[in-house]
This record gives sequence, C-alpha cells and structure tokens, in this order.
Amino acid sequence: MAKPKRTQQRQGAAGTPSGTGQNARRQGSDATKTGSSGTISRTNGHDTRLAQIRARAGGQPPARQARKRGRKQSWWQGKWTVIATVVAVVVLVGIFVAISRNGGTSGLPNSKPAAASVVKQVTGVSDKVIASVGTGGVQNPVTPLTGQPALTGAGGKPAVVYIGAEYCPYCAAKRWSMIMALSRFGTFSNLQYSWSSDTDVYPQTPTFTFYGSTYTSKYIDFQPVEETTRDSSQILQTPTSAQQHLIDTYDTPQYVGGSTSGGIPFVDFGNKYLSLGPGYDPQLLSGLTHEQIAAKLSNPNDPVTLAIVGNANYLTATICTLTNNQPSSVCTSPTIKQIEATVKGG
Amino acid sequence: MALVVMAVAGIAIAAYLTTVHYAKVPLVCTTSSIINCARVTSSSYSVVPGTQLPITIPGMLWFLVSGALAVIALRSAWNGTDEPARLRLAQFLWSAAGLLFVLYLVYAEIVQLRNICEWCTVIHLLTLATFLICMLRLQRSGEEPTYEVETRSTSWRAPAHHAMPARTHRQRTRSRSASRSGR
Repeated sequence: MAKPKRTQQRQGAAGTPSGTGQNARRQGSDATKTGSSGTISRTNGHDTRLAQIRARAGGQPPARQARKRGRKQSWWQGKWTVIATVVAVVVLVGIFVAISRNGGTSGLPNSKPAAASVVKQVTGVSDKVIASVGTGGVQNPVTPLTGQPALTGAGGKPAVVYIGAEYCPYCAAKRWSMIMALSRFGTFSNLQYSWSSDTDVYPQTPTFTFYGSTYTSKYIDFQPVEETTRDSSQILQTPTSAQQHLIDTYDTPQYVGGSTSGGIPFVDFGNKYLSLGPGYDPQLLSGLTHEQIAAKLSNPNDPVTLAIVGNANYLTATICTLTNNQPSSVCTSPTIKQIEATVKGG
Repeated sequence: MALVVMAVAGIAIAAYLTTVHYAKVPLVCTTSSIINCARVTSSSYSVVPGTQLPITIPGMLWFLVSGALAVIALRSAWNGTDEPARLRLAQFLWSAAGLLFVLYLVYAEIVQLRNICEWCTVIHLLTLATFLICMLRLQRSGEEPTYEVETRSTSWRAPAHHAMPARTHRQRTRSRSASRSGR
C-alpha cells in the first residue's frame, strides 16, 4: 500500500498546482482505492498516470491549457508588444515631422568654408571629362541678345553679371556650373559652402555662395550679387543701379521668356547673352553632400556630371564669345568650339 | 495568408516603381504641397547608395523573400505538418530588417526631402504590417514549444511501465523473497 501512495505523491508533486493538477490527484486517489480493492501493481500506477494525462489533455486546445496552467508569458509575448511597436513607429514618425517643421534644419548654417579638395574637384574638371560630356544632353541655357550696348566692367573687360540669392534652389544648381565655367577664365577664392532654403522647393540643395568670395580674371569681370541669406531673413547684397537697370530691362518676359519679371538666377553675359534659370534639374543634387557631388564630377557618365559639366560647357562657350576665344587653351578645344557654334546660332 | 498577399502587393508596387524609373515616364501620383512622388523617386535616396540601382529592386527582393517564407509556412499549415525549425524567427528577423530600412527611408522623406511618396508609403505600411504579423507569429511559437514538449512527454509517459520498472522490479523481488521466506 505504501508504494502506490508514494508514487501518487510524486505524481502529484510533478503536476502543476492548478485545478487540473488537483483533478489529477483526485483521480489518482480513486485509482489507489481501486487498487486497494483489487490489485496493487504497476497497472494501478499506469492508471494513475493515464488519469493524469487525461486530466491534463482535457480535450482542450493548447492555448487554453496553457492559460489554465497559469504559465507565465515571456516579456516579449502578449499584445502589448505589438501595440508598443505601433506606438513606437508613430512616435518616431512624429519626431521626424517635428524635426522637419522646426526648420528641419539639420542645423545647417547660412554658409561655411568650403573644403579646398572639393573646390579643386569642381574647378579642375579634366579635359577628358569635358570632352566626354559635351553638352551632356542639357538644353542650351543661354539666349542671344542683339543690338544692345556692350556690358563692360573693370578695365574694360566684358562683364558677367549674376543676380541670385542664397535661398534660391535654382541658383544653387546654377552656381556649380558657373564656378566650373568661370574657373576656366580665372580663379575663385574664399568660396563658401551653402545650401538653398529649408522651406522652398528642392530644400537644402547643396551649393556654394558667391557672397564673400573673390574672383580674379584677366579676361572677364564677374559681378555676383547674392541678394539674401538662405532663410531670407537678411539682405546680403543690393544690386547697383546699373545692375538693377539690367534686371529691369532684360530679366523680363520680352527677353528671357516666361511670364514674370525679375526671376533668378539671372545672368547677363556682356549684354550679348542672357541666361535665366538653373540650366538643369536641381533635384539631381537632392540629398547629396558637396563632397559627393564633387566626387561624381570625375565620372562623365554620372547624371550629375552630365548636368553640371554640360551646363558649364555651354556657359564656357558663351564666355568665349565675349573674350574673343581667349584663353585659347579653353576656347579652342573642339568640344567648346562646337558648343560655341550652337550658342551663336541661338 | 496575409503575409503572402502583402508580399504580392509589395512586389507589384515595387515592380511598378522600378518600371517607371527605367521607362522615365511620370508616376501616377497626387502632387500637393507635401505629397510628391516624383521628387522622392528621383532623389538620391531612390537609388542604392553608390550605385544607379533603384532602391525598389532590393525592395522587390525583400518582398520576394518575405513571400517565399510565408509560402513555406502556408504549405506546412496546408499539409498539417510542422513548420521548419526557426522559420518564424527567420521571418521575424527579416521583417525587422525591412522595418528598420523603412524607418530610414521615412526619415529621408520627411526630414531630408520634405516630400512623401504615396506609393512608397503603401510599401512602408505593408512592411510594418508584415513585421507585426511576424512578431505575432513568433510570439505564438514561443507558447507552443511548452505545449509540444508536454505533449511529447505525456505520450512518452503513456506506456508507464517504462517509467516504473524499478518499482515493478522491487515489487517482484519482494513477492519472490516473500515466497522464499515462506510468508
């Protein structure tokens, strides 16, 4: 009698402390009684265990059994983790929106000194890349101006007047090509990194600002005007009366097309050619850093290179028409000569 | 089943965006102040960094793998067999990786580009839903092993004589020694 009882106790202890386990113990007890009236043998123990098994199985689905047994769930189990995940994603997106609305600014300054290596990559594009790109599939960005008095600057050199602003994304795109083209006729110094407005179209388009830079050339007189800062909060430069006269006269639908006057970027090439607009899609520069853009300029197949260098080649050919194709190292290259013919043809 | 449906939807959208990228045709998309698919899909974030490969191609592959894993689970359920070991864990990790990348893309859209692409958002929601379902599946698999172990041990214990030979042997010995001692 003692043996079956001990067995029964052991089984009871092995069972869970739930109601199911108690049922099992009850059934085990019944089995013992049966044993006492009949045979106390392994059959009795077998029945006891079977009774426990039946009690455990109970014909119930596993999940319910698990709940009945009161088994603890792991920390990562349960509906709350799903809810927490969704809440976390929503909160994260909310943070992104808040960053974006608060200027998103990523803390971008109005400008900061440009890395010399980047300036070198922009101003020193190889002849091989220039020749390979050609027009780069870019549409002719200049419009010929006929019958107007020649525009000259310091020392009687042909003047190139640029009117733009740091907030302007189209100016941002244009400056890459302008710096590239003008560097073939002279030298820039103190170029600074800048970005277009955070809130305008093509926000934070990386670029340089002409404000604070200097340009020296024995061929042309470059007169850049950056009207405001990238957040438009400050006026940086005001056009001179002569420059304002150019804007009022030529930056009009009559000369540059379009429906409005005073659009920027506006460039007057010695009153012989005008250029309004970026020359290519600023979207190409979106999300790129100055370094990334500069690095692309050695790849003549990159869309960014095609756009910037192609546009720069047009501007170079235009300036060559003002300088009587000087310097010859720039203006007599087959690529530029070919594009110059296109520019002259209008 | 839901995972398979979402994978198919994701592949379809990614295929459409990939086609548009290469065909250079306009996207069917609303253009409002913030919604502008073209700006997003033509930005530098729309290609795999350092390549010209549209990011929709890895996206398509992600949904393809996600769908394949879901089909394996579906087949197991259909055949009434056990799912391959760690399938749910693999699905969870795969979907988690997808969700992390989606969060990066959402960051790029909202903070960097300040434009949202409708098609991309649908893909992002599909990825989130896939992750949640995979998480639920993994949670359920976390419950089942305990039950399976118990079931196995129960069926193993059923022929109880395996578990009790010692007692039986002692009983037999006792009865034998009792008979020898003449009791």
